[in-house]
Amino acid sequence: MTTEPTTEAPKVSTTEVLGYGVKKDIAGIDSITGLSASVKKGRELRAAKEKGAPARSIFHEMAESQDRSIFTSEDATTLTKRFGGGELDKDGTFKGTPSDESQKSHEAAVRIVEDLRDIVQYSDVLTTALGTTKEDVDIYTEKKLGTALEFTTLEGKVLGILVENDAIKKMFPELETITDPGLKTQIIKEAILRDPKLKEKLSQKLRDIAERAKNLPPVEDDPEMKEAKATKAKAEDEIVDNIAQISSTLAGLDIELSTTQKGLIETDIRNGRPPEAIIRDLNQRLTTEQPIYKDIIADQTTIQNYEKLQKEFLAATRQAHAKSIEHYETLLRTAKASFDIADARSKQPDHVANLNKAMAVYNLLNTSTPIFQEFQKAAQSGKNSNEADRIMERLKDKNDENIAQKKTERLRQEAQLRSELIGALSSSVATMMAERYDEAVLAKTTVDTEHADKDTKEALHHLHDAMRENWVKVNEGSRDKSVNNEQIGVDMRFLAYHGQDGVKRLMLRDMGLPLPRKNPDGTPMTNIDGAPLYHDWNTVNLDDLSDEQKKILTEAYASTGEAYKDKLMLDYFAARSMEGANKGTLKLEPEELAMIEKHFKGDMDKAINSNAEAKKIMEDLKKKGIIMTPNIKWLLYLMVILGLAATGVGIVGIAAPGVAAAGLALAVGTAQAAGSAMAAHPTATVTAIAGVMSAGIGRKKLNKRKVSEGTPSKSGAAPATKPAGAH
Amino acid sequence: MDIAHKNQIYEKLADAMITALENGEVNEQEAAQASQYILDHFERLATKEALIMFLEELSNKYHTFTSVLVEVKSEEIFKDKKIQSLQTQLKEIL
Repeated sequence: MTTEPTTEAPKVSTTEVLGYGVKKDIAGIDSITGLSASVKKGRELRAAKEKGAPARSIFHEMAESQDRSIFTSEDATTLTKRFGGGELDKDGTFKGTPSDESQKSHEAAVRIVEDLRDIVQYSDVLTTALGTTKEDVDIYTEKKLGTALEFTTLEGKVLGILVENDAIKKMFPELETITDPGLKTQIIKEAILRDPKLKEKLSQKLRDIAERAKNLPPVEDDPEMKEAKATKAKAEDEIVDNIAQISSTLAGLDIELSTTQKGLIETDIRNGRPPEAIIRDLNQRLTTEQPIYKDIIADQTTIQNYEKLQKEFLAATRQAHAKSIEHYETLLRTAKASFDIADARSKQPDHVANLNKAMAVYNLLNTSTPIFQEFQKAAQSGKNSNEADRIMERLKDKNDENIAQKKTERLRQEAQLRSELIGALSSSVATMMAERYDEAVLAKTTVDTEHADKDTKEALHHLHDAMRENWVKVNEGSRDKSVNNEQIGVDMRFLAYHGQDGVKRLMLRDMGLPLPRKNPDGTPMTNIDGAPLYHDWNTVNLDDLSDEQKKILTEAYASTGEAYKDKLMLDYFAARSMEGANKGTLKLEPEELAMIEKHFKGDMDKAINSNAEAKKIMEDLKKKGIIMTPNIKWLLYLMVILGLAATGVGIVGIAAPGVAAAGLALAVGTAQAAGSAMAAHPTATVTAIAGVMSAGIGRKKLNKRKVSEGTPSKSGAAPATKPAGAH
Repeated sequence: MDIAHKNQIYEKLADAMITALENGEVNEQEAAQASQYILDHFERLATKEALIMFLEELSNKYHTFTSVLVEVKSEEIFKDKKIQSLQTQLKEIL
């Protein structure tokens, strides 16, 4: 499959492809060889940089200048990050172990988006090659998109998707009759993928979906739970900060906390112990771990107490209070021994060295110190953390329930967007074709009556009005299209049975020329009541027309006959694409198609031979010995009248409810129909009015011109079976 | 990773892109895509290893930036060699 298009398909050059080809060539050349613009941009950026613009702003400037008409790989990556049940973080990775549903949603989106990105990329390469002498593969490698081998793989993949797309199958039913897979993919490649409109429409559609994907509802906690979690996180951060601060403060006091000690403090804080208790325990641990601290503290206390006694003794001496003097002498004598020991020990080197540390540990117990306040803060953070835990526990069940609901809703919306993604290709092809159809129809129905005389001019105006309204009618206000399936089917069969003569008769009908019957003596024929009788437009002998009418018909046929016939055929394709080629009056039997081909062979050959691509396909078919069936010729002819790429099926499927665009769906392994694709075009609300217009505008005009008694209705003029007078 | 060093590399990447544009080696679209890629990834790089991996990936996608990758890798190799040389000298002294 992957190599068919390049190994078997007859090579079709890309020049002169379709009407758009010529205009787009210039853009194509510009996009690939327009280096002067790049150089200019480079110089602008260089100047900005030399003026001091930082790298970041340079990259921003460049990124923003990106051609937004193309959906890029980066766009694709960004889009797929939105799918995953709300369980993905901004980097596009799952925050934890994802649920099956979320994983599947993400993986499905990745597959679909990658396929669509590949289609855009491949189409971009093809359209860039337009108007250049370069091969598609060279464009691909020049764009540094990959190797030649990778291009072959990409081409095989994309064409495989397009060939299997149901919407395209429905638009081009003749493709199904083509047995040469290379020819089939070649036609799709040239007819659909090389039209720049496809990549533009598809990119636009994808970007629209990407914008909406940004608004997928988040799967997040209830506000209360969110607040509790924020409180918890804040408290936890504070605890860590507080412990770090306590460690730092203690370090400043020459007390290094071990990891174990820090852990114990953290546990105490989390357990909500009062700061006094935490500090007391710390003090005890420190003095237990370093007994010398205890000794130093005890000695310092002894020394301080003794010195205090000495001061009090001196004071008593100054006051000459004998009783007090005696009392202090006793106390001093008693304390002297302990003092001497403590004093001696305090002068020992290790005591001196540890004095500050020991005193700092001792001072921990002082509630007025900064360290105590830090412990108080930490204890408060611990309390906050515990309180947040309690709130979260209380909210958990309800929150979990709500999260599950939010996730279900998110996944539902993701599935909806995926469905739109699946339909995006069909929708884009339909929109593209709709535009092509509109352009072609406009060209076919443009009145040029400058050189016609008054009567012919009037007749031509009637004819053009009818062409705009008979088969597919566009409401110029709403741009809605109304399709008269019955009239189209009947008129197509009329052409099948009557050929060029049929074209003239239909034109005669639509010009609304009165066709009075005449007696052999030239007098008007009347019925028994004296009312004039008229010929039916479908049975009148054209030789019986008046000279003036013959002149009008001849001129009208010469100037508009081909456009008239083309418009009917385009509308036939539009109608059958919406309703299905085999539905009701639209169905043309193979022999009827063969008759059309036989009657209009000259026109078809002329049209096909005037188009290089179509001509080449014909020649290749002949070389391969493939019989040119009426179907294939019909398809090529229709392609030509809208430019090679666009068969006149622009509005195809736009309003065909239930039409599944299964091509891509098959490619991505889902069975989702792309009904949404059909609703994407502005002209989506097509009202099929088969039957309703059986007495349509054309007939009204005939009535206005006094339709003869017994003249069949317009739709009845040519019956579904072989019409009267058919040869 | 040293922020100043990281910023230097950022500037080198910008220079490489501008030069490639000026020389017509890349078109605007490629440069735009590369810029977006750099904006999406560069500032998140936290380690030298991550930086080198990023540069390798970037150079794979856009050859324009290969020179920056080569330069950064050379610096690393040179640094390693310098350390080795110093270690050898120390051993000799000791």
